[in-house]
Amino acid sequence: MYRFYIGLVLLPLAICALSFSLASRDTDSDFSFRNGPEPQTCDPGIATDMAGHRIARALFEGLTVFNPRTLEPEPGIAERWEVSEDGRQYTFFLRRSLWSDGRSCTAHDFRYGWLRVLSPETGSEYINLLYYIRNAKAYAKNECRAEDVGLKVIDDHTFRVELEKPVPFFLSLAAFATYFPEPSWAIEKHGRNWVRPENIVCNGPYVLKKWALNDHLLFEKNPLYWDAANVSLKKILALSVESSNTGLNLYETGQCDLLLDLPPELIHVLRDRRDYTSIPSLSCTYYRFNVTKPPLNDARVRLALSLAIDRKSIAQRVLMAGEVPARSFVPPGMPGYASAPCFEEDVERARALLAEAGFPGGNGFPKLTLVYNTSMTHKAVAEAVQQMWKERLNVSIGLENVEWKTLLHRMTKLEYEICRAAWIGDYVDPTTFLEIMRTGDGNNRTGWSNAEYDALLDVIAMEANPERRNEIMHQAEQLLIARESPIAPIYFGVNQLMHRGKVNGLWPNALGLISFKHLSPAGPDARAD
Amino acid sequence: MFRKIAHRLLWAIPTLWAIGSISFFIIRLAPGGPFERERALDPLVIASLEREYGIAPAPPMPPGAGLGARAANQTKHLARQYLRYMGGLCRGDMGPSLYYPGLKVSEILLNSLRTSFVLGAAALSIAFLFGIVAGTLAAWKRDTALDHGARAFAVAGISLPNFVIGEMFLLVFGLWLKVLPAGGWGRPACLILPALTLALPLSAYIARIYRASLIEVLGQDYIRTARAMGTGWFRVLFGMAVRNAILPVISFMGPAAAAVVTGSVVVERLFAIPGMGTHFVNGALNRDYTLVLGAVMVYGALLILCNILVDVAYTLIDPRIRL
Repeated sequence: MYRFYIGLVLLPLAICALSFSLASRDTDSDFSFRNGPEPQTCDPGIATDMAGHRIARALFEGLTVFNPRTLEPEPGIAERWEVSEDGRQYTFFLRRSLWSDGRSCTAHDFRYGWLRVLSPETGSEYINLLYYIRNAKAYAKNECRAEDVGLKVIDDHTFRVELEKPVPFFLSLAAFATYFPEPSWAIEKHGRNWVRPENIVCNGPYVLKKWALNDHLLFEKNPLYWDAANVSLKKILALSVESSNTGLNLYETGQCDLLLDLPPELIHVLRDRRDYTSIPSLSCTYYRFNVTKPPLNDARVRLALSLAIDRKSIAQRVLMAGEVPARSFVPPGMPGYASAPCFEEDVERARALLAEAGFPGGNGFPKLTLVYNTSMTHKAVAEAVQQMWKERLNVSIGLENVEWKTLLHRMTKLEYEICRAAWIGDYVDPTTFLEIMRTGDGNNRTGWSNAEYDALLDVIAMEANPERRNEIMHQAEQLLIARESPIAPIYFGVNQLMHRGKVNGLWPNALGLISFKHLSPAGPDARAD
Repeated sequence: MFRKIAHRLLWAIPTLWAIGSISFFIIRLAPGGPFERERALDPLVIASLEREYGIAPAPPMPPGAGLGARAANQTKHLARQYLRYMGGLCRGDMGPSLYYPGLKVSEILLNSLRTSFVLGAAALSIAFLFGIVAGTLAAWKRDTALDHGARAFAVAGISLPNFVIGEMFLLVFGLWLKVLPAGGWGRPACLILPALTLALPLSAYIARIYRASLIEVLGQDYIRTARAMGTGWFRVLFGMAVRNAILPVISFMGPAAAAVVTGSVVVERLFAIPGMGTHFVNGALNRDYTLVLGAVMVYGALLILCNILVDVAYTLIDPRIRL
């Protein structure tokens, strides 16, 4: 009898004790932050999510780096560069620097990395960011040899890049993760597994020490980094925590020092706290109109719907995190380009346009559906817009909530009427927004095509004079938003930051970048500066 | 007994095959694919990735082809992919994850299963001890305040969803009292709140099942006879009834163990635990076909295994039962 009871009590207790003892890890660090959901990869050539790019930036360095305050490109691995007069040829002079395994980082590694991105087998989502390089697209299509691509290694430390056309923002492209160098020997040896902690070879301020899936990544200072003397933090912990609520709990209990996004339902409380900062980001949330479906094939209807949205009240009453009402497509804060509203909201004009299109007072307007992907915020915004259209135009819209991949599929197949979308700038130039609405662009997803708009984009691509270029970009934006309106911009997003003041050198910026090498331990009273 | 176990294990093969096959075709029905992303991928890249991972769509048919021919083409193509996947499974290869480049499904699942196993084992042990004690007290002191209290606890445990229980634990012990970590993984202390959250509803079920079973056993003739012959309550309860009443709990524990050990997405999200439950949901949302299939197969295999273990436990507890 006693054996049974001893077993009954002791067996669970033993299992319990064993499981407690198994659950241990060593992750002490100088600084920890919530990196968002698990990054897909930290391979700079294929990383696409914000989380992956943040990690890639800690581990690798490109020819140029963004200044975290101004977002201007500054010398990185390239010590200096020369640009040819026609703006089509860049010659980079690389400093003497080493990979984390002691090999020297040379122009060959850049050429290798870029050609690797251009091979479709690599599976890089950002392959088209390299199409600015001469013959890059042809190479990706297997129509020319690697030697024909405009990447010339003059010597180990001189790298010449020839472009298809002048690209005024090429230096900031060169700071983007897709343009980072890659170690051919490690990739050839380990294939897709080369980014694992045991295999990875990197050239940035930190090296990857540990990667626990869905849990954390641990970096350690890279002693061989060329500027290691100026890297202060020794160990950084990036927490892969999916829920922003859980992130906040960890922050409040001191297990995490920095949050980069916060639960939207708590924002009205958090925004008044001293440790909270927000800054407009390079992102725009907008509604797509499917221009292949009547009555949305009529530009007047689309513009009327767009004009009748009270964006200010959405930003202030629904979102509340400091979002900016969007009356243009290019967000403010794009260096070198003054984003200006393309129109003022005007209900009278909206009603007139609707009447002109054959729906006076909203009569006879078919019931359309607005589709959005599951999220509290998207739902709240959609409901606000639905109500505005009803009250102001007497137009009834149905709402439909679908799961993310389903929405993507329907957008691509144009199986929707109106849908929610958002775009985050990839590089620091207005064309990162304007180009996606070009005819046939994979991200256009509205069925909209306009020869005049495409022609303007072609002119922008060739224009070297910055003022003239800005003027044409404004023109294109005006056409897109205030005349043709295949999309209705709603608001420009914000980058949020909640920081316990453990480090200095954390400058909130529009790209949401953290420059890990600039972080240094702070005194007890420091806050996000 | 070993022959019987071997027999059951053999039967597991066609069962798993059926689970795998049904899931393989169901997941393909979901709209969108693994390489459909917010930033549209270059068609060149999509084609190359689909080739690499063996999930390319059927080759296009000539424009004149009829509906029947198209359907046949489609079916033949999917069947080929199905055979390739099943062939891999037979060799123990679950394939690469479609979402995490370079990671194999088997290693993703193995790592997360280890976490879920630790958490699940702790939760099961706590639930078992709590449930048995509460059930015994309730049955022994039937219709007293103790019984009503235990039953109220059971009803609360069963009806409160675990995200409510978890949030309450977090609020009280994590954020107010600050005595336990509010999430994360890696220290034994991190295990306490999620294990309790998982254990509470389970222990409520166990308490209810055990109470009912114990009351039934206590009403049996041999118990009455033992009492009539002057055996004390203590001896009757702990010497005879408790042991004999435990069988229904054991059969409940089998499927419960399989479910708990493969993780709970709610608890994992709430406490930031790198367990396996997350992969069921995220795998499906990301259309990571291989990962979802792998997770389903592992869950199926564990369920079968746990049920076999339950039967073995029966024979150990009650010598009259033979497999």
